Amino acid sequence: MEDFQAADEGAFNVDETNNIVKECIDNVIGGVDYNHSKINQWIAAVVEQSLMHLVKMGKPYKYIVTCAVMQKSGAGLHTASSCYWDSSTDGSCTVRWESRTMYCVVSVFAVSIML
Amino acid sequence: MGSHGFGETERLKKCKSFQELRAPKTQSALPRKVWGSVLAGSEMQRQQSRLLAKREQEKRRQDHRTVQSQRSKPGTNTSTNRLVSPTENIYEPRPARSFSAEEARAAMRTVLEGRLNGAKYEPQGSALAAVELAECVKKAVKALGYERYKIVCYLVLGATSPSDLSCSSRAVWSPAVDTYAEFCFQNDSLFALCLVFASYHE
Repeated sequence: MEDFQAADEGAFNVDETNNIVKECIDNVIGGVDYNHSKINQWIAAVVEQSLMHLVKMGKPYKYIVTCAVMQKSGAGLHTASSCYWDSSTDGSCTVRWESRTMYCVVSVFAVSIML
Repeated sequence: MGSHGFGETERLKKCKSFQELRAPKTQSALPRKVWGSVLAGSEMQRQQSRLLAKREQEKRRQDHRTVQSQRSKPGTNTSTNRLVSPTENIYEPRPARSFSAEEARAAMRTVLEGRLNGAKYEPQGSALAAVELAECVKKAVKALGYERYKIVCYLVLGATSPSDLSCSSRAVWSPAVDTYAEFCFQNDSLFALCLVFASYHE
C-alpha cells in the first residue's frame, strides 16, 4: 500500500476516504433504528455530508457517492461495480456498515480531472 | 484538431517522432568530427532521458473491476513502450459527442432483461452474477463509443423481500458534460438496480 502511494502522488487515497465516509455514516445513522419515514432524509444526509468532506480535501477529482440502505430482514443483497477509467489516478472505495436493524453500503468513485 | 481516442493509432504516431529525433547524430560537422559527434550524442541522451522520464509518467486507461471490496485493487499497468508525443492529453473542454443517457438506458435494459429474464435469486451464485452483470453493462455502454468518457457502472442485486431498500446518489462533477442513467429490473424472485455514471475526462 505504501509503495502504491509513493509511486504516484496523484493516486486516490482509499484510507482517508474510508475514514471520512465511516464518520459521516456514524454521525447520521449511528445510534438509530430503521425508520421508514426518515430513511430518505438520512440517506440524503449521509451522501451530502460525505461529498462535502471529500470536496473539502481540495483534490482534483470529480466524486460520485452512492448509498444503499436496507432493513435487516434475512434477505440477501449484493453490490458490484465495474469501471472504465485511468486506474493510476482514479479509484473507488466501498464502506459496509451495519447496525442492529439495517445494512448500509456507501460507494465513493473518484474520477480525476486534468489541471 | 479532432478528439483523441486511445489506441493503436496513437502508439504508431509516437514511434515515428522517435525516429525523427535520431537523425541529428549524423549531421555533426567534419573538422571537429569527434568532438561534434560526442556533443550531439550527449544532447540526444539528454533528450532521450527526458523522453524516458515522460514515458514513465505515461498513463493508460485500464478496465477496473471491484466486488464489494473496501479497497480498489489497481489494475495491472502494462509496461508502456511508447513515447509521449506533445499532442497527447490535449485539454478539450467539450466532447465531440455528448453522452446520451437514453442510449445508455436502452443498452442497460437490453443487457439486464436479456440476462435476468426468468432468473432466480441464489444466495451462493449471486455475488459472481452481480460482478458479471456489472461488467457486461459496462462493456455495453463502452461499446456505444463515447470518446473521453470515463464510465462507472454500479449494480445492486437482491432478493425481492418485504423489506425496503433505499438508494441515493450524489455527485460533484460538470453537469454540462457529465450525466448518469439508471435502470431497475425486477421479477418475482430478484431485483437488479443498475446505475451508470459517465464522467467526461477534462
